[in-house]
Parts: sequence; structure tokens; C-alpha cells
Amino acid sequence: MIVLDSAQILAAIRRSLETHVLPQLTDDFAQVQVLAALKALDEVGHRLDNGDPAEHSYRLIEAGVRELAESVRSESPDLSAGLDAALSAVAEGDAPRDRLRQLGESLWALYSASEGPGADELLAILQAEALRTMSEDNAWICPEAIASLT
Amino acid sequence: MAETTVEQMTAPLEKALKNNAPELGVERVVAIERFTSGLSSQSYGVDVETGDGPVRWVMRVEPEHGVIPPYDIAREYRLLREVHAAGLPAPGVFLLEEDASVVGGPFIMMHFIEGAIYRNTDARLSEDLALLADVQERFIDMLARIHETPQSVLPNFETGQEAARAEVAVCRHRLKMTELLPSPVLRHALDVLDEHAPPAEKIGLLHGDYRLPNLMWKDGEISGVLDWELARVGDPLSDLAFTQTIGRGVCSLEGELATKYSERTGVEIDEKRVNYYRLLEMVKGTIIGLAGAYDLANGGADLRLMSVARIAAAGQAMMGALESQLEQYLEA
Repeated sequence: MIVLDSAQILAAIRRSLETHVLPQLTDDFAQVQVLAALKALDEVGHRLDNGDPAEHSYRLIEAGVRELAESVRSESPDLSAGLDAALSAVAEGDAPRDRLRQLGESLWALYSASEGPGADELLAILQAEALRTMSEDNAWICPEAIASLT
Repeated sequence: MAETTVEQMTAPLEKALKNNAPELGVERVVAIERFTSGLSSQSYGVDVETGDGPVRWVMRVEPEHGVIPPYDIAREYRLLREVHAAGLPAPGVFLLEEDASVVGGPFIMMHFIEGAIYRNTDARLSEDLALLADVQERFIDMLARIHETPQSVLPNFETGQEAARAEVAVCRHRLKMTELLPSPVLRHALDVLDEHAPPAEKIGLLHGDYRLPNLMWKDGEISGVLDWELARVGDPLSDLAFTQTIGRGVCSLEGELATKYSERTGVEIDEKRVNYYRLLEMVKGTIIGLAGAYDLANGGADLRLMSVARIAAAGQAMMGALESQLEQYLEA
């Protein structure tokens, strides 16, 4: 359907589910599945407007790691070189999620093998980003889904 | 592969019950109702006509996907049989069907337990403090009984350290199986837990998911203790810590309630160990919750898992503080 953009298709699906499907459902489990689907559609719509959050996350880690590599270049040259290598090793053409995974794995391996100056800072960069994304993710929780489980 | 629907299950289940368990006297499977609570396995109410009249059973199906891999419903069956025989009000299981083709996965069948569940937000508990105190008392007593129950199904351990490290290894394995993106918070917490595994005053059977909504009540007594799939052997303080973290609610065993547990069992409440197990239970619960995302990425069809994964991820915010507390105890 070339005449509609992706956001318009998502919005139409959302209206259909909300208007024609949800009111007809009497099964609790089916209802909560549709409510969760509506929330998921909102999230996908947000990604269409704002980009893949994995790309944003990658950029934040990359910036932190570049800064750290620079700051420990004299006192921890091995770690600094390792950080540079981890960034260079990420395949540029890969999807944002794959690049984030590659970088995360390389940096974790580097952290696990490091003890000197900079290691704690590297862990702090990784953990801070995990907590930031976690807090952003809260917007897409479907309360009815959680309520149905407790 | 798409999940087997209730409609698709009815005829093959009836056939399997008639052919494989003729002693049950099944004449007809009248209805199958999926229970919406619980994520780890799929539970269904099964209404059956037997030669002795209508009965309701509960069927738990090992999911093809799921949040607590690796699954072993056969072991759960054996454990339930054993703890039920030992006098605990665990569901009375009577059938293990390992043929996954019948309802989409191996399953166990158990008697339906009559009773009601108290939610943590239940107005009856907030409005009637005497009832709340009674519920708390029985909650503690039942946990103590579980911890005293001998069993031969689950792996036993000689020391608390061995038991704790085994559970850390299970968590690490689950994380490795289900981690979609590297999780530095969980990986670090697992390393800390491995390094600081404490000795135990006592080792015993742990329920692993002991919370108010997993208990059934009838005539003021606990008529059922449900959801045993996370049961393991270890330091009883781990179950206490669970009630303070993932299982938090009106029956959190801390302060006066923890003292009552200690008086009932003789187990000393060592805050250092409790803190260790708070971290372990948070890590365990977070990994299980995050596995919901993996499940969806690999064929799962329960969209509630997306929200579960997000709620679980929020647990990571507590881990830094728990790790710091652990370090402080070690330095003291």
C-alpha cells in the first residue's frame, strides 16, 4: 500500500483493533493481548518518528568510550587501545541492534580482562546506559498486562 | 510454531487420557480454560466427565518457549508427588504425559485445589488487621514447613556456598540462553554473587517463588501451595529474601515477621546473608522477566511478556545498591 506511509498504516491498525476488535472480546486473555498489542503499536510508531533506540544507545556508549579511551591513554595504554579496537571492530553496515550487541560484547570482554585505571569507569558507562534505557522503556509498559498476572 | 489453542487441545487430550490413563475413567473432556495468571508454564482448568461424575483438573503444559528455561516438567511432577506425600498442600499430581504432540508440550495433570487467593492489595487484609496477622502467621508457618520437608528429587548440596554458587550458575545459564543484548548490570551482579557466596546455617528445600498469590486459602487455612518450578535446595534465608524483593507485599518477612520466622525455625536472621540473597533473588527475577523478550523474539505469542521484561529490567536499578551493601558487610 504505497500511498500510505508506515505511521499511517500503524495508526489504522490501532484504530481497527480499538474500535472493532477490543469491544467484541469477552475473553480476558484475548482482551489483554489486544491492549498489549496497542501499546506495542505505539512503541513502533515512536520508533518511526524518533529512530531505533539501539542506534541512540550505541551513540551514547560510543561517545563515553571515546572519551574514556582518551582520558586513560597515558596511565592505561592497553585499555585505551582496547577501547579503540572495540569501536573499530564494529561492522559499520550492520543493523543498529547488531552493532550495539557487538560493541557491548567487546566492551564487556575488555572490562572483564582489565583491572587497572579506567576499568571501573568502563563498567560505569555500560551500566549507566543500561539504566537509562530501562527508564525510557517504562513508557511502554501495558498496565493491564501486568495486572493480569498478579 | 504457533502455540496450540484450547480448541485444538480438546480432542487429542481426551484421546490421550482415554488411551494412556484408562484408570482415570475419562469419558469426555468437556471444556479447557486457560488461566491467565502465571507466565512460566501454561496452566489450564480442564473439566472432564468421568465414570464417577464431573471433575475439574488442572493441566500444566511445558511451553515450547518460556521465561524459565531449561524446563523440566517431569522433575516438577516428581517433586510435587514427593512434597504432597510429605504432607505439604502442594497440588496432587496424578499424570505425567511426556508426548509433546498431544497438547503442544509435555504436561502434568493435577487435582484442582479449592480455595481463594489473597492479593497483596486485598481490601480484606488492609481492613481487618486480625485477619492480616493470621494470614502472616500461617504464611510463616507454611514456609517453615517447606524448609523442613525432606526431598530426593532436587540436587542436594553440602554447603551454603555450594548451593548459592549452583543457583548463580543456573542464573548465568538462563541469562546466556536468553540475553538479546549484553546486560552489564546482570553480568556484574552474577560475578559479585559468585565471588561472595556465603556459608549457610542450614540447607533445606526452598520454594523459590514463595509469595501470597501463590497460596490458596480455604476456611482460614492454606489449602494449596502452588508454582514449584523454581524450587531448589539452599539457604532458607534465600526464600526470606525473596519475600522482601520480587515477592514483596504484606507478607514480606522482615522486622517482626522475620523474627517470628526465626523463632519458629531456629534459623538466625543474618542480615549479611539476607542481603546476599536479596541480590540473588533480584538477579534471578530480573533474568526470568527479561527472558520474556527472548521468548517473543523466538516465537512466543503472549504480548504481556513485553511489559514483564520492562518491569524486570527496572530491577537492575536496585542491583548497584545491593552490591554496595554487600561490599559494606564484607568490609565490616
